[in-house]
Amino acid sequence: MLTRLYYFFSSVKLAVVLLALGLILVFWGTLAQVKLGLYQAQDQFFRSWFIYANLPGTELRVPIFPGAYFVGGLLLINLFAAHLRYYRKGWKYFGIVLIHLGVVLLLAGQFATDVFSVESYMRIREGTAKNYSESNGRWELAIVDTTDADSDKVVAIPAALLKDGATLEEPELPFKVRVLEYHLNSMLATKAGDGFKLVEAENAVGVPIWWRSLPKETRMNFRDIPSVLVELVQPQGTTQKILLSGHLARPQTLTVAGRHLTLDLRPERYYKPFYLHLEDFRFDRYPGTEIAKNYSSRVRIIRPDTGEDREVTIRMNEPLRYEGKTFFQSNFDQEDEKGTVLQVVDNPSWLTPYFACVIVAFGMSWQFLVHLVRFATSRKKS
Amino acid sequence: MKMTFNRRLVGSSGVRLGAVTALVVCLTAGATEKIKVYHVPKERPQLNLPSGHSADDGHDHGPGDGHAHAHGENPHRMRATPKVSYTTPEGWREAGAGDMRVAGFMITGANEQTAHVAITPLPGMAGREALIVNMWRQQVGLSELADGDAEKELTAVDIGGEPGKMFEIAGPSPAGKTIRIVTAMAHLGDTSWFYKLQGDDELVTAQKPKFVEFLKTVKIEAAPATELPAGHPPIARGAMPGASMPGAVTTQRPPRPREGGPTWTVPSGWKEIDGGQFLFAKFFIEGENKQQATVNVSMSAGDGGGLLPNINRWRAQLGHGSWSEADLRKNIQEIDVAGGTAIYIELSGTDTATEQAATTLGAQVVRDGRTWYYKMMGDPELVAAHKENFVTFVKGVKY
Repeated sequence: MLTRLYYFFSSVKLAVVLLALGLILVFWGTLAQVKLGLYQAQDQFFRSWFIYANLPGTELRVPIFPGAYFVGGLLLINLFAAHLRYYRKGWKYFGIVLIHLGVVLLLAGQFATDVFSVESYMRIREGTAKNYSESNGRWELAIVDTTDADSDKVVAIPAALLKDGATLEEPELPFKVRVLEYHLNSMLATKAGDGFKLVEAENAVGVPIWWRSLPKETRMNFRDIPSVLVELVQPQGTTQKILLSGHLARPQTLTVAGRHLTLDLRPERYYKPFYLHLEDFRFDRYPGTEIAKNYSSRVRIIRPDTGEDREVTIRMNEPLRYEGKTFFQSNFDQEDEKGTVLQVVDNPSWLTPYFACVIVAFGMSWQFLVHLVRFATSRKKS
Repeated sequence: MKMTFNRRLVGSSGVRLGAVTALVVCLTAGATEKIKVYHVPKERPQLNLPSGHSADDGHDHGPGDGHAHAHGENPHRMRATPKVSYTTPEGWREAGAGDMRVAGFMITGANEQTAHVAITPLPGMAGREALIVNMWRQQVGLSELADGDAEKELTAVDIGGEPGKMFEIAGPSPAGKTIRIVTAMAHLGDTSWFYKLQGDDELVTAQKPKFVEFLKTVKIEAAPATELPAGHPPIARGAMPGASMPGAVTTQRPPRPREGGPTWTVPSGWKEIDGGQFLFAKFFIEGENKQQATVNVSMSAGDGGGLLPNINRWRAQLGHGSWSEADLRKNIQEIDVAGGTAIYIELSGTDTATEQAATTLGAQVVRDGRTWYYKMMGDPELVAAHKENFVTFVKGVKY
């Protein structure tokens, strides 16, 4: 049985079928972006094991096609198995081994990138500094204890845990958080309207607020803005209902057992051990025109723990690489050009494609030379 | 080429197990979501902060320290708001700004009774006092009052030397306690300022005299011309960081997130600025002699409270009394717009906020269960110069 499986997983036929499935997947996933938008299509087609669809007339979701994880995973297994199956000793075949190793590294590296890399954004106004970046699609319920003078204690609850009816407990919190109602995408209003419901929060936002759920956003330039109604349950049984929303510009404040807390539903934050202080943002144009020549941000890297304080300039094609993260010039404040938006990419496997390409190139060169030497030798003999 | 079968490697269960384990570890990594707890240094947007601290820095200034605090924009979110100053009554502890409020206070009484005070500016609420009273009544589970009865609930109050109105309600909270809400309001230009004292019935009743005294100390100073609403950048959480760098020109609209909505061509001379959370869009126009006008675009579900209340609100802003339905019908026009007609009106008077002559042009368009209001208000000469632009703009909007 094991041998049959081994033959199956190492077969060339399987490789051909998987490559064909991969082609269909890329083609289908690309077309699906028209309807689903980039991010949802990525999730459904390329960050999934299977593509699901509803059975006609029912809410039952069934897998209808393998997703990219499935196809890529099997390809990786196929590559390993084929290598084991067809491996032959000797310097003559060393190039083949290297080529396989390079392709495996490439596949594994891209998978690791998908799983481990984090993309976020840092928005800084001139003359100000930030020590954190924010996600563009992930949200968190942040409960921050601001009582201490030197530092804030943050309890960050990922939005994925905010499910209707869930009770969230954390020893560092003076209360349990009961999720009464969560909307992945929402709209708030200060007056009633079709489809809007009064939010039954006790402190709300100073005035009564109505809300409604919106469908998940698929357009590229829009994003979901979640809202949640939570109930804070203290050990003695006191409860308080609070509305939190990405639409609200400022956090809610609360004092519990002498501790001053803020509550906010905000984009997930990634803190760094250093600050970036924006000295100057420049949008250079070709003289006499509005045509862009260059965008650049002159920033100071300030690291309190080491005393590092130096200036660097981030330009369109010249990102800053620092502390394993890459800071790209991504956008800017289009109203007055006095603020910058840096894309922060934290990708622990960013070097794997480079290594993989070098290994494959070396392997191909090796094989070519082996054949060249063999050909030249046989020609000389004849 | 003959293919060989490497039996030694295939037979190695350790290799198979290792490969499968590595694969499973890779595939499942990062799949779990957990609550994170960590410490971060206090936010320091300005790294070279002067010594001392501001009213917004989260420090406890001590209850009733008697000195006036000035609340400006919250540096953490970079929002420009008018500056509000006041004298904190004894026993009130500052809770700082939060969501839509620009200042807040906590009050603690005996038996763990609590109350809080919030100062919240909201656009476009003038002339809707009855609606406001009923909104609060609804919040505490009380039935709605007829407009006339609701307005009888209002009493006069002094808010920083300006005439304001105040009302008080009590009812059960969702937690079953009796809560009391005392609300005072004053309309300054397009903005209505709400001062709310809310909390346990007994404590609020006891604190009401202090609240009334507090209101007298409140001073609101308009944001400097260089701050919002005159074009504060959309760099806060609303910005769209995922949008790519523009290719060639910078004349595109600021990338503020909007929930769908219509598209339009912005006339020359109109500058889009941030209109806050409850305006769909806002434009600023400045004349050669520094005259100013603004264009507000707002959207409401349903009929947006009705045409007459909205027009009467606009009339109130120009110092006029309310119209009846018959007056309204005599003064409105219908104009053709994309896909139907719109109601159009012109009003003139004196802007009650600036005491300067002002003209208002307004249009109402109903589409797909939503009502869109377009209002240009400002210097009469400038508004007259941009009247054609305004009408063309409204006619050209694609829904």
